[in-house]
Amino acid sequence: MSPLSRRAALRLGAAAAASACLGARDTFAFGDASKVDCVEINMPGGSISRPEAWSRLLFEIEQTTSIETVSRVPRIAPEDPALFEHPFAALVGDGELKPLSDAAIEQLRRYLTYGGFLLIDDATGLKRSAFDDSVRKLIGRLFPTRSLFPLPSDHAIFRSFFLINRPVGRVALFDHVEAVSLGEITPLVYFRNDLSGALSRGADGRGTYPCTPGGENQRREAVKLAVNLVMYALTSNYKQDQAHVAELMKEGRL
Amino acid sequence: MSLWWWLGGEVGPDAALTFTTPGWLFGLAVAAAIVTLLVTWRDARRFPPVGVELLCLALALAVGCFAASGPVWVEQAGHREPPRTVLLIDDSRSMGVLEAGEPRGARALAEVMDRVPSDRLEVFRFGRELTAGGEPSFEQGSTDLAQALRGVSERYAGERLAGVIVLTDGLDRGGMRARYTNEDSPEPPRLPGPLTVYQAGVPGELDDVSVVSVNAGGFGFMHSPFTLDVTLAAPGFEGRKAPVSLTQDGRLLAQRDVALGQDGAGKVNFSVKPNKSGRFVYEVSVPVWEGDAVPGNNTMPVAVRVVRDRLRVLQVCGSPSFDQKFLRLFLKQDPAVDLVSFFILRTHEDTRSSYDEKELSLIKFPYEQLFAEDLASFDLVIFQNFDYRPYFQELAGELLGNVASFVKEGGAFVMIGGDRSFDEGDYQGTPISEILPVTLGAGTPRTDSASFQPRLTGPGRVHPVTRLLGDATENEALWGRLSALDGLNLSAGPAPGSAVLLSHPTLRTQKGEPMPVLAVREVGRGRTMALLGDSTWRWIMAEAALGQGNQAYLRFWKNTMRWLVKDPEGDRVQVAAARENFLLGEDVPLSVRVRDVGFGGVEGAVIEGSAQSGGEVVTFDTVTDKTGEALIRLPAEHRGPWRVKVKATSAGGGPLGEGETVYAVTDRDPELDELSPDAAFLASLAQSVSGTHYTPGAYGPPQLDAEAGRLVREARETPLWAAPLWPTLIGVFTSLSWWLRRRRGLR
Repeated sequence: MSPLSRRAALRLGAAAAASACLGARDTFAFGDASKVDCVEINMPGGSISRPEAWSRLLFEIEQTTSIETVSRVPRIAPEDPALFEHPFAALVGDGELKPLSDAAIEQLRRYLTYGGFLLIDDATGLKRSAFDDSVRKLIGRLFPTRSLFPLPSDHAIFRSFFLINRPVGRVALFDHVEAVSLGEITPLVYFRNDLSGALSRGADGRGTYPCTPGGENQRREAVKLAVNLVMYALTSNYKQDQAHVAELMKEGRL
Repeated sequence: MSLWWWLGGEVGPDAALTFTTPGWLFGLAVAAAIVTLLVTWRDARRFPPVGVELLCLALALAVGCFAASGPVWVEQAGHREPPRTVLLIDDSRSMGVLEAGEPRGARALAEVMDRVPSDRLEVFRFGRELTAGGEPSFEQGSTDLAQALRGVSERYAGERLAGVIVLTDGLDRGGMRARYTNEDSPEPPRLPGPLTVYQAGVPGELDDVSVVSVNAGGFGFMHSPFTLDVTLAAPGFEGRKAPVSLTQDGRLLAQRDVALGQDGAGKVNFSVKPNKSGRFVYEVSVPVWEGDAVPGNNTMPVAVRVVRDRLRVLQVCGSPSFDQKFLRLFLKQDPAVDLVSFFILRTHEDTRSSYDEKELSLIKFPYEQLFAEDLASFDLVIFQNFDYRPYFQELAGELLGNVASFVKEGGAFVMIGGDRSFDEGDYQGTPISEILPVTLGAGTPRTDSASFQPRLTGPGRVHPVTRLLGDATENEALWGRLSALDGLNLSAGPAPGSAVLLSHPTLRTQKGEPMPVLAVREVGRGRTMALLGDSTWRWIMAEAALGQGNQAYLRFWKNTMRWLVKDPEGDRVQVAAARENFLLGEDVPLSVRVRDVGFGGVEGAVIEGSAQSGGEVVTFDTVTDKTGEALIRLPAEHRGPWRVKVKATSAGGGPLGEGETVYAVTDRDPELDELSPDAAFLASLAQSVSGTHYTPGAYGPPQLDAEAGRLVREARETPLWAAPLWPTLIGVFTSLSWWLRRRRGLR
């Protein structure tokens, strides 16, 4: 990671319209209940749990953005109504997912339709896998009239906080992200470069899994994409508002 | 004693004999005669000869039958009457304007009467309708020449008149003038005689400044300028400079000087940028100069309906959160909302990670532009967990003051809770604290993080913001089962004049009042709301988890928006005038509609209202019918813009809402909008029917048809059945028959 120069810090401060006189914020006055967290969906079959990855992501968000987070990563089943208390959810897997019951499908569909966000993360690092096949079947049942499509490079996910040029994770097999959109909103993102693998860190702070082929720079890009996904889940297409697009184009950043 | 006496009167040769007795009656008479004759013959045949006697009797019976048939001698006759002449006098108010100190109509009429034949002259007056006879008063409010000519044609159908003479200034408003002006070959009127048009009024002889037209296009959009195009006419004041004023509800908006051309005409336009929706009366006026013939046409009101293009909402959020996410989704998905969002994605203390600025997609927060320049373009400003201090800095007083002024001038403001809001955002003592519905300065602690179930207050049970369901009991039950909120910004209590709609179930202010959770307030002409929690998003997700959908959340925020921006379409009580402008003396029909939460009509709602203009106030009351509507008629007794306010209560006394509208009463007379006589129209009209058009100073004799007139037919009837001849003949024949019978020795 490159150190932040004083000039860059000042510019960044101006960009964020932050005040130099702002002191450190007290602990969140409303407690942790409404803070942003991440829920892992526990699916029968090939889903796996990487709470350390999401904790790391939430920490990174807390450090980098104005979002208030809590390092809370519950793991719950898709049919559990508690899912609706956590509008950001992740499903990580490396094996075939067992088919869900109709009730679970209905619940998950309702969750996504009414404002929840689901990141499906393929941890296999393979171009073809049983997990991928089962995910596509799952999405086909969730949205029979919608299909996965590659997100265009100007989608708000790639500019919700960082400007992302290439969506990489632990691996860089795919140069695109697939998603399902409902109108102008994208509530489901399917990422196949193992994002959680890049986010995972051990107790020593080092990455649990090596990122290939780009090493730590690739991991850095993966973290930026993960931050963007959470930011998008909260602000949706905010960054596609005219004011933002025009300003970024004026500054030559788009 | 002549022959005519025996027949009952003189009869001529050109006639026809008709029988008036019904056939069946005549048949009975004939049958009776035959029976009489047969009976007589049966008795007399035993003593012949009987021939002469029976012959006499038969003659008597034949004469009787003839008389019984009701013969009438009908002679056809007739004679030609001399022709009549019709004079139509334009009795409208434009004929009454003074020219050389005398009404133009009166002056012209005196000259016309010297030229038209007085014999068999029939005079009519016309305005909107045709009236026979009477002295012209030049007081009628309109001119419909086509209707007048049609009325003459129908009245004299079948008769050829010597002439149809029209005295008018040609300022027709019934459509004929428009047709002659706009069409190449207008259909000429069908007239029962030759037309002569005497034009009243001399162009240029009248000194009058008037507002001829104000074109506003009928409606405008909020926050978007629209143009009022004003046309002036000022014959007699050519070359002068006229100060033109634009007022709204009596308040001067603008004034501009207009240089009048050599033809006395002038044009000017005003750009108006309305910041509220509804119906507004704008009035354009020019001063009354000395010699101005018609002061009443110096003012023209025009009502403009201002509609929202879309509701402009500014959402400023200090930290992306689930609460911000769901509110943005709601606002963004509403096609009636034009949303501008600014979220603070990164603050100074969020720079602990080492990312270069070029890696970020952040833009500067344009707070100065938003809160110093663009603020008036919004309908609603939302501070959602927003801390102004890092950004506004030394401009804080000015920019927050702008927000307060924005509200006082009619804008709407919402502050939503969080760890950057209310006391946590250090708003105490700022201009914002003056407009909030809660008093800041809660002391310590400033927040409470315990989950709680908000409680509906008394005002909250009836307030449109918290009325999520029509039925009060169901509404309260819904609030009772909505998801609990996560935490609360504490306050010192409700601000004066505010209404607390939701309160905390257990927490109390320092004064011992329930701690406000949701409060609203009217500030100046605007409205504000304080929502002291940051987790209404749970109302969506918790309901969705139960399969209930998100209607409670959507309805709450829709209610909020409608109430905050005073959306008239969302008002449950609406009052509307039948039209925008009324003349003095007219009735003003006002309709009041009262709807329940489900927008169904409320029957039996008690309406109390008032109409006010300056110091004049008219009060009224009524009750709605089964459709929830009521009609009121108010007299337009005083000139000016009138504002109507109504208040509706249920039959039980519960408040249902209030409504408001405006209309204008003017003494401006449409008949006096234009005063210069239209010689071209009158000439075209006369030419189209081969008639004659005379202008003032060149009056000649009317065009008359000497062959005109009408044939009067008569039928003379002589009732022959009543003639003395028939009883005489019957008597002679009967006597003769009787004498012959006695001579033969019979009785």
